[in-house]
Parts: sequence; C-alpha cells; structure tokens
Amino acid sequence: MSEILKLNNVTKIFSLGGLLKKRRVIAVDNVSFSIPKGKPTTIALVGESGSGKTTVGRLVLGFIKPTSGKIFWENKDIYKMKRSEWKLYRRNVQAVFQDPYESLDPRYKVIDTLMEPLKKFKIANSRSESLKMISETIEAVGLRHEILDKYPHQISGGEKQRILLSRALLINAKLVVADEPVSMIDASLRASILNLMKDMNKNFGLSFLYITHDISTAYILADSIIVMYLGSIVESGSFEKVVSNPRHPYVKVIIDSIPLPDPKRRWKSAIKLREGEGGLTPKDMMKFRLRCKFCDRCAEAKEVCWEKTPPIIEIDKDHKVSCFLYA
Amino acid sequence: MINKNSHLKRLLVKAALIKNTLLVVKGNLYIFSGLCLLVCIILFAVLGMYIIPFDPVKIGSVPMDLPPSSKHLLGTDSLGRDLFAQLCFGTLTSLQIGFLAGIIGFLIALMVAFFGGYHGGKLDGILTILTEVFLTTPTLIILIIIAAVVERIEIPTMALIIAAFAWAWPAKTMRAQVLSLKEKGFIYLSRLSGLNSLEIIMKHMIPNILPFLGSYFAVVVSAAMISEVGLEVLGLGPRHTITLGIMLYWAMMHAAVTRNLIWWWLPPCIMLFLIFFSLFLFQRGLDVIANPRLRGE
Amino acid sequence: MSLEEPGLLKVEDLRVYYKTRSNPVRAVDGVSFSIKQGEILGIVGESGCGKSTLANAVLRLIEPPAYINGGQVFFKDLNLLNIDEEKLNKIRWKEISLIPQSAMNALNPVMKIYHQIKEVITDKKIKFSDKEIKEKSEEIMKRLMLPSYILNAYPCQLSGGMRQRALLLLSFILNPNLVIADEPTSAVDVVTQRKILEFLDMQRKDFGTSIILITHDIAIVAEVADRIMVMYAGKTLEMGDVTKIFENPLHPYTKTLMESIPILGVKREVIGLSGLPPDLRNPPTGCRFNPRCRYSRSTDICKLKEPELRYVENNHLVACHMYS
Repeated sequence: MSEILKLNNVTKIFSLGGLLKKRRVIAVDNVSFSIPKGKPTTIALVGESGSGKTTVGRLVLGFIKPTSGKIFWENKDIYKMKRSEWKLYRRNVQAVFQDPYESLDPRYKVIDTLMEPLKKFKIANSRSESLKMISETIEAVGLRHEILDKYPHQISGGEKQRILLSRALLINAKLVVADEPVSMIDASLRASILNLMKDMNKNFGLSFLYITHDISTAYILADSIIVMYLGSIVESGSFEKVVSNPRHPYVKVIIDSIPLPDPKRRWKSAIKLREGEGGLTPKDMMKFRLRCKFCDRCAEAKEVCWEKTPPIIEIDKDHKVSCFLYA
Repeated sequence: MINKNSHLKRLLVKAALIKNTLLVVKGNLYIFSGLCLLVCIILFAVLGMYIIPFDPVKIGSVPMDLPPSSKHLLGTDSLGRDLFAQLCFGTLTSLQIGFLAGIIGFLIALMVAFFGGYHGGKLDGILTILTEVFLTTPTLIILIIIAAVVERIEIPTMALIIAAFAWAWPAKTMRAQVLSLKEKGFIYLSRLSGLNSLEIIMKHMIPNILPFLGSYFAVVVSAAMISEVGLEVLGLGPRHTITLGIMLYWAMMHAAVTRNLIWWWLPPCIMLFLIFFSLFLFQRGLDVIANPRLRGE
Repeated sequence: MSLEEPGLLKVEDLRVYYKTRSNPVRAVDGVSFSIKQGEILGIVGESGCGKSTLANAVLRLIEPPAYINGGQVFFKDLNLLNIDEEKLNKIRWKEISLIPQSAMNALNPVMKIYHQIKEVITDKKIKFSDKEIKEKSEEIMKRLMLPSYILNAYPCQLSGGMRQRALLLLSFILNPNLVIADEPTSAVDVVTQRKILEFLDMQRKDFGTSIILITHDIAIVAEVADRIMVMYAGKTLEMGDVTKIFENPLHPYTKTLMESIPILGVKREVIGLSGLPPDLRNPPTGCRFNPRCRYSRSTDICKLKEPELRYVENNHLVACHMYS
C-alpha cells in the first residue's frame, strides 16, 4: 500500500550559540513513520517538551529542512519537487497551532482570511463561488455566518480554532498537522473542537497528525500513536494496543501517571523512575547518541542500554517498541 | 422592571463605547495636533514667501543690521538680507532636506529590516553587522569629515549624506519587530496559503506594524533634521541657500548673540523647536495607537 | 450559612473586586469555605472563575486594581484581613505559604537554590545552622525526587519541572500549617506532575500539612484531594467530599466538567459547554451559570433568584435551584 506521507530516517540537528561556541541539539533523531493512502487516519504524536514532536510537525509542514533523511509526499521527495508539485503539497498539508490568538491576522476579517488561500490556489472560479464554498464550510464546522464579518479580537479562542479547521476543509487539504490545538482552551470547551476534528476525519476524509503531550485528549481521535522521547520514537502502533499494553518503560510510566478522575482508583505506589542527568533538557547530545536516550532514568536499564542504540522490535502487527528489553 | 434594566444597560453600553472612542481619539489627538502644527508652520512659511517681496538669499538686497520694523518684520542681517524672508524660505528648505533625508533613510531601514529579518541566514548576519557598525560610529564627526571633503554640497547630496547615518536605528528596531512578528501563527499559515515572501511582508507584516512604522518615520525625520542643523550651524551646509541652520551659522559668524540681535537668532530657534515638537506629537500619537498599554488600558 | 466547624482556615463570604472604568469586575463574589488540619481541599474551576484571585486574597497579596470588598478570613483565631501588615508578614511563609501560578519563573535567577532557601529562613528570623538547613532540604528533596546537585545550581540550569519542585521545596522548608498551591502542575509534564502530587499527599500524611490545591484539571483533584470546591464566575457551585461529588455530581456545571474529560480506556462521547463565561462587570441576574445550563427553561426561578449554597447530604453542598 502506498503512503501519502512518509518520513525516512529523518534527523534534525540544531546548532545553537554564536559564532564561536556552538552547541548542537538533536531535536529529531532518525525518525521514520508514514501515513497510509486511501484511509484517512489520525496519528497521535505524543511526547513531553523536548521530545521533538513540534519539530517533527514543522518538518512535515516543510518549514524546516531535515539535516539528514527524506520526507516524501505522495511518493515524491518534497525537496526535489517542481514548483507546481510543491504548491500542491503546500495546499494539501495544513496546520492548526496551539495559540489561537496568534493564528489569525488581526487586521483582516474572517472572510478575508478564508478567501486568501482560495484565491492563491485558484480553487474557485468566481467570487460568488468562493463565497458559496466559504459559507458551506463555515456551517460544516458549526459556526454561524455572522462570524465571517468579524475581526479576530471579536471572537473566542474556540471559534478561532474552528475557523482554522474550516480553512483546511475549504481548500480540500489531505493532512492537517494539529500542534496542541486544545491545550490553551478550557476543558469544558475542548470537547467541541475535538469532536469536530473527529468528524472531519471520519466524514470529510482528512488525516490528522495530532501533536500533544496529553494522551487523554488524543484518545478521542487517534487511530495510532507514536511516542517520542528526546528526539527518538520509543513506541508506536495502534492506539488501543499501545495504551492498553505499553511496553517501553517510559511509556509505561507515562500511562500510569495520567491522573484518573476517579477517587476510588488512586495511584497505589510511587512511580519507578530514577532522576536522570538533567531531567528532560537535551544538552550536548551528540556525545550521548550511541545509547538509549532513556537509559539514565530507566528503572530497568541494562548495561547494553548505555552502549548501543536500541533496535526497533515488532511486538505485534501494529505495535513496535525500541527497547533492549524485548530484543 | 425588565424594561428599566435594559434601558439602563443600553446607556451603560453607550457610555462605554464613547469612552472607548475617546481613548483612540486621544491617540489621534496627538497625531492630529502634531500634523496641524506642521501644516501651520508650512502654510505660514509659504504665505510669508508670497507676501514678503524681499530675496532671502541675495546679499545686499536690503540695508544691513536694521532692527524689526513695519517694513522688515524681523529686521535685516549683517549681509543685507531680510530676516523674515529668510525665516520663511529657510523653514521650507530645512523641511525639504529633513524629509528627503528621512524618507531615503527610512526606505533603506525598511529594506534592511525586512529582507534581513524575514529571510535570516547569512544575509541577515551581514546586514546586522552593518547596522551595528553604523549605529556605533560617532555620526556627527563622520558627517563633518564627509561634508568638509565633498566639494559642492547641494541639497540632494546633503540629504544623502544625512540619510546614510539616519537609517541604522530604525533598521535595528524594525528588524526586532519583524523577528517577533515572523513567529506568529498567522504568518506561518500564510505560507501554507501559498503566499511568497514579498506578499507576506506586504499583506501581513507591514499592516500589522503600521503605527510603529509611522512612529519610526517621525523619529528618522527628527534625527535627520538634527544632523542637518548640526552640519549647517558649523558651516557645512549647502551653499548659496538659506535654511534655519544656516541662519544660525550666519548669526554666530556675525556675533549676533553678543550684539544682542535677538531678532536674528531667536526666531529660527523657535521655528526649529516648533518643528521638532510637531514631529514629537505625531510620533507620540502613533506610539499610543501602536501600544495599547500607553492608552491606559 | 453554616459550614464545617472551623478548623485551620475559615473564609466567610469573601468578595474581591477589580476596579475598572465602568463597573467593577466581581471576580470573587461571596465565597465561603473552611479547611481542617491535615486536609487537602481542591478548588476547581476554569479560566476566569476567580480561584487565583481567591488564593491571593487569603494572604492579602492582591494588588490594585483588585480590592477586597467584604468578607472575613479566619486563620486559627486571627482575622487575616484585619491584622496589621507586620503580624501578617510573620504568618506568611511560616504558617501559610502560597505557591503562585507559573511559580517556576518566580525563582531568583541570580542566586543558587541553596542561598534562596537560606534567604527565606533568615528572613523569618529563624536561626538554623547551615547543617540544619542542608538536612531539612535534603529530606524534602528526597520526597520530591530532586537530585542533590540542585542545591548548588542556578535556576537556569534546571529544567522546568525541577524549578517547580525547587519552589515547592522553598514553600515547605519551614513546615507551614497550610500551603496554597495555585496550579502547581500546569506547566510540567505528566511524570513530574505525579511526583508533585505524591509529594503533597506525603506531606499531608506525615506532617498534617493542610493543602489548598487550585487547578482547572479535575482529574488531579480526584487523585489527591479529600474535599473539592467547584467555582464558576466568582461563585461556589458545589462543595464537599471528593468521592461523593465524583460519584454523584449534582450541579449541572460539575456534571459537564466530569463529562468533558476523556478517560483512557473508556470509550464514550465527550460533551462540552457552549457559549462563554459571563462578563463579571455585569453578571446575569439569578444563577450565573443559567445561560449555559442544559436544564434552563424560559420561565425560571434560575433567571430571577441566585441559588444559595445548601446542604444536600452530609459533606455535600450545592448551589442550584433543582435541589432546594
């Protein structure tokens, strides 16, 4: 089966510091995954801050170039595309960002913001056709027509996120990279946005790359999950399988630490985690590349974990782990 | 009872709206008064030129060292020229040079800030170093050297020389604005809408920092005028013409202060002050619009 | 209004408003609660409900344009709102400490952690020797799972989660009777969050410290709190024993909060609210939640009269006309 999006051994190294002292940070280390064609999927990309998940999002959106490795869209290397192919790629891969307040140009009304991509991608043939398309899409995301005439400061955060989602529908995108779309929105208002995304996935055929640190919200939408730690993928597969039966020690700790809203089922014992060499801040990681990134905090680490990069092991049809415990 | 409540509510809302508009007008009041003052100054000078028949530049066109009278409203200078005519003509010429230099400098700063700030990379690195160099060089000294070396200084040359040093500060400040604006979500989304860099800069960046740009422009013009006056007072201005600075130069040359010829040196000083003040008001008004915190919110 | 017997802290009808050009914003509008020694009270609410304002007001740490418009705060036998600043200062940090929101940025960036601890202690004119300070710190650090090297580190050298825990260390070093923690885990990862919550639980068990845990995340309240208080638009909507409220949420808002959390392993529809919280300069007459309440009907007492907080059963109060 072919894929619409494929990342092949993608690595991104940032060089920080001025002209003299350079410090290199491996934000993304040898990451590979793909989104299958034909069946619209939602992949949850989960990790803490510093895990590299946001960088993966920006790589997929083509905002930064990988240091090594390739990114394929519809089987074409995006950095070897012709101009027309690149334009199509830009149209098909859209985004929703974390901060709704900075996602809309405050100087333009909603309708102008939505007209812009329509005009640029030459999707509608006339202004009246554009207006019709916009009107239908706004309804589809559950907003009223009055909102088209408003300025961003006159509408709420939740409505702004819906407008961004409607944008993706409007131009017929195939993939939406959603980077923490609901983390700045109150809990009681999140449900409507998450349900909308689920609706767009099932009924409008859009795939989502849902980037978050909160696995619980991903649960509503995601079919599969990829867990990242300090730039590497530690476990991936079908959401149900990974979450109900996590294998990687880090993933086990994460899932166990999610607070359950049930006072009768509280955490029984303290978590088993060692304090590492600097918490989760990736320091000069080039030195520590040839070992499992989790080894300094893992309660079950063996000697080999400190010396080699763990292999990717297939536990099940759609369940992979990168850990020496299963080698 | 419900009617009374809603009536009260409407009044409250109206009051709030009026208060809100007053706040924006307060910003605009600065701009408005600044512009008004500047326009008045220009009108005054133009009218003056029209009414007064004397030549401000030609030496010996009238008797020397006359105190103010009904014929010569500000008297005459030691070279035989009517001072009121000089004031009017000089104001216009000073403004001409100042604005010309300001516009050139501002355009340079705009290009440096946007192309460097938006694209980043090596180009940005080089432009930043260039900006820093121009910022830290002692401007007046260099200007003096250049002005002393260049043989014939006419108005355009003078404007260019001044502009060469006026662009650095706004370039640096605008670049900072561009850098922070670049990271906003809607800029990234415009890239995903298929816009190229120029379109993004013109459609999304500039409109969002327009009040800042206006404010910086006023600052550049002020800075240009200060440099201009500085050079002219030292005698390094354009030859064979009259500006406010050159008036002061001649006044100093002929010891107008010691001789208590207050009608010679004071009017240009007042005029210069008024010009700077109007620019300040204009700039302050734009600041208030650009920065809501100054609005008192 | 009769509540629990006064224990450690008793807040009665506290009102904190913010001055504006028009009407004042009624951020906290008549909130009452109490907390005993050795109890964890979770105050739950979303943005704008007034919980942070409440936390700051208890220790009189609010600044203009906020002002206290009424109410009492009794700590042991003192009315904190009446005593003079000097006396209140003696109580702050020693007997009641407050961990503000985004506390990880509240550490002094140019002092090592150890020196900041020392400063806190000497400021209260307590004479501990260096050895004693180290011992006490290490004891708490062990509970927080902080490595020993942080004492000698500057805040910028530590990760966000470590800084948050370092601030907890500072707040607990003088073993106060009551700690008010305002969103102590909102900016940290889920593992650090668990460590912090487990630490709070341990302090309560071993030292009898009372903790007011303020959060928007109802799930963490379920993990550690004994009682919870649900706030909305400056008012208390429901309060009581945590198990009772989770098993049987009575107020429509509480019900919605419970239903809006996705739970791993439980396949269900997540429901939310529509609309926005009211403008507290002109709060709606009657019940403040009424405009968004799913049980609201057109001719209703809910629109006319504000419901009072009343006992429904032992250790369970609700402010809702459906239960009066």
